[in-house]
Amino acid sequence: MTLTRRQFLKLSLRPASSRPPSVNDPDLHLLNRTTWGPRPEELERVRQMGRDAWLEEQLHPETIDDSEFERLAAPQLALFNLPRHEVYGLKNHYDREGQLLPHLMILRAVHSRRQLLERVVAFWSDHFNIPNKDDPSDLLLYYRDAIRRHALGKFKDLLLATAKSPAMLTYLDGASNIAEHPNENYARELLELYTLGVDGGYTEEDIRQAARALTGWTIHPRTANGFYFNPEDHDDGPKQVLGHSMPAGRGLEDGLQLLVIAAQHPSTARHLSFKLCRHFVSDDPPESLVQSAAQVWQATEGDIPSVLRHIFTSAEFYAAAGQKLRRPLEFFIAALRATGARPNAFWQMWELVSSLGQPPYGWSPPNGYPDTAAPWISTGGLLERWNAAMFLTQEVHFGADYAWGWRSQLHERIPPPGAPGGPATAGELVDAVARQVFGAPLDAASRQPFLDYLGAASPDAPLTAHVFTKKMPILMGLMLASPQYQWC
Amino acid sequence: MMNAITRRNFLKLAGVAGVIGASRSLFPGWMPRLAFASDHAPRDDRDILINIFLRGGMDGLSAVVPYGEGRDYYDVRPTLAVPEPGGGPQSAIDLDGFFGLHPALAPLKPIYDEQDLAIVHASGLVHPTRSHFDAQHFIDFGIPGDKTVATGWIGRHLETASWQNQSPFRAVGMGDLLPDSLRGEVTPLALRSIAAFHLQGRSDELQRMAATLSRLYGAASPQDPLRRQAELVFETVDIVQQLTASPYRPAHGAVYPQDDEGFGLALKQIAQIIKADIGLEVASLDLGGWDTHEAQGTLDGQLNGLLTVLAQGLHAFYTDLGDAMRRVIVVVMSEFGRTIDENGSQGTDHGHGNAMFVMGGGVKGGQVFGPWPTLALEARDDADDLAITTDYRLVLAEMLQRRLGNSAISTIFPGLTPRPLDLFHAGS
Repeated sequence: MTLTRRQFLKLSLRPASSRPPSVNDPDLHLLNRTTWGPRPEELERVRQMGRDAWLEEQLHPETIDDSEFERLAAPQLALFNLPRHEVYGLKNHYDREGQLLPHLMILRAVHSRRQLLERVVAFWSDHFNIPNKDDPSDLLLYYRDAIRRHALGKFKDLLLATAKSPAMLTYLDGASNIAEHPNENYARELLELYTLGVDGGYTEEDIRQAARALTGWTIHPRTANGFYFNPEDHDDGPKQVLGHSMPAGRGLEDGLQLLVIAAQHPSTARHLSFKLCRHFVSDDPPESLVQSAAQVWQATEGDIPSVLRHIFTSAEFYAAAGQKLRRPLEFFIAALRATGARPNAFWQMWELVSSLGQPPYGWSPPNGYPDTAAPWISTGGLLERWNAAMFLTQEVHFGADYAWGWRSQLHERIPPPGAPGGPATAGELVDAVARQVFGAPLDAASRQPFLDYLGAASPDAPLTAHVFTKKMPILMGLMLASPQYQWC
Repeated sequence: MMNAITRRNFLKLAGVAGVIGASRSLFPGWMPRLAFASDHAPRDDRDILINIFLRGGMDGLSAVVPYGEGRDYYDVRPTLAVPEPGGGPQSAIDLDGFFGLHPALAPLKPIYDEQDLAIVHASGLVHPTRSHFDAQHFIDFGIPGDKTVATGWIGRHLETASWQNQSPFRAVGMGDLLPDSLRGEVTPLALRSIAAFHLQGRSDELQRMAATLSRLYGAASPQDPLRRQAELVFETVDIVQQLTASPYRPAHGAVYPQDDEGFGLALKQIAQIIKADIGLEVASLDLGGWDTHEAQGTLDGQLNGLLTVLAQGLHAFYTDLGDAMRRVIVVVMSEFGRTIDENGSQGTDHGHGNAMFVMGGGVKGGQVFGPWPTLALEARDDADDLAITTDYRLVLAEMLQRRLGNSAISTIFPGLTPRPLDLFHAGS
């Protein structure tokens, strides 16, 4: 179909020509993709340690001291880390509206030093998405004990933990999948979304057989993890799934074997490697990289850190700088990291991230938020980004006693002219702001519109206190709103 | 500093203080075509299309009940079947002696009686997939089985149209994400709220701020899709400023539902855009949540709630537009229907054939179209499903030809052999 191909080429997304600094800076590129937004101090660490050592540290998050974040988020962490039986009391007080999960997700992404872990947790949260609509306690335990616990472990363990989780057994109706009336909702998504992928070579009959293998998997409030296998409801006949025979009378073993078969299937290696590459490299990742990542997946039996290490050290990865659109949540969190803006209350953050279109855990279907640029490119969405950029760079206080508001750290991060470390010229100001936003200064061509905004005749024009006060926050807003910043 | 309660109020205040209204003079290169209202062909030549997608798989056998099937329907749906007409407000509303509307769809009955609403039953996507995501993809892009095509069926309609229309409101998707059906060379506008479509910032810096943004995006590579979006932001902000100068009041006492999903609000805003005559040709919106595997409910519960919102929304829209409905077509469809037999969880699973709704002055309404395959075991598709006797694309193809003035069916739906259903009056 020639028409289609022509249009496809025309529509294929390519990054801006005024390029972000990461295009010529592999250290910065690595930070753009493995963190929630590059901080100048982290870039300094990468430069000192080298990329490999820095990546290794991030792949072992338990070795990274995170006490500063733990102090900052102590009240939320105390609730998050409650023993299982106490979590079910949560909904009666703090978490009536299910705020803890999204709040802590954002706090971690902004402040934790275990940045890659948080990126990978978010990836799996999308892959195994359950929207924040049902029982908040079930969801907390799902995202804590299944997703977060296994995010940098073996895929097989991650899959099994999600499958047994009460949140999943409820969301995709596993708990009502019984021998007499099989419900194939979970079995279908298991093969289509979570493991083999829609083109992974399974049949409708495989779905029916997989649903039979999982009959009797249900929920019980008094077991250790909420999972209960009810042999009464299990279909104990022989089954044939994905080319494997399951003899009659094995009970729970049927479902466990099914999950292992699915986790170890070559189509799963391929599907998950593709998704990881699409997320961390580019919307249309090079076939060579998908293939080699799938080989690592197969050789390590789905060892997630090994596959990530392979991707982040590949030549294909380093050729892809500037090719991913920051999705709204990524944009929002990166902007929070750049500005240091903090709200007085969570709901203020929630309104802003919702208006951008990607509130955490807010996607209803099981496939997770779209992970390519095209669905996120829209007129309304772009305007929301501009407005959020301007909002986060202004001091806003309102309410009877100014109790509500956002406070940024712009002035702590960029001292005024005359103060120690303060910019003396327009050019120095633009560079200082770019360091906070992009991680590094812009090239001369990209710098010019910002100098012009300041009204500077040249980069060396002296910077007055008046211009600094009036224009510095908006200058940062403009950089966050610029086309270069939307791509990373 | 601001003195307001919520960020919404803040935005509103900032908007009032600093809406960019003069972008025409600021961005001369971008604004040569704001006279679009006069350069698009007279509206009476063709209908405006409103495409409503019920995401999740609506149970068409509950929405448009084949009560005439008798035991073939009632026996296989012991807890979910809608009672046959004649049982008061808790029973189906008879349409033609065989089909009845779910009671929650009662607001649609007068429209059906006015012959402005037709139903095409046992219609759908002719493809064996039971995946929501594949089925929605195939329908939005319009080519069953092909996942490589990059343009949506409505996008291809706009590309192949014989007329020009430069309005940023030519194709509007209501919501945060752009519907895939609109993808194509004509850049659609994704819009959640007309009222909030303002650029905000310090009022004394707003002009300079906007000028810098314009320059930054103007310098972006022509391949950067954000560049065109930025142009559209400025064009749209201008139009919206005029549109929102006075608050919108629905006509004829129409009352839109205030549902959590924002369906009623979206329809109201589409009505506002239609009446403003700013070049709208197609609008697309979703209503989700139809995947009723469990506890689907009959006269209360999940499905009933969704059907209520759908019917109230369509009724308000129809009432509000009044005479303008003469040149508006509303198409309501879902990615697939649901299994004929209810499952063990008092729900239904992914099936095939479904009911489509078509509303508007150009519709030969008051009829249920489509050969009825029956629910008998031997007539079912794949043992469980209502067979599809009408490819959904046949409905759209006839609509495109007779009401939207576009005969490029072989481009919009490659591989489809059009067949007249005589569902639409021929346009002028």
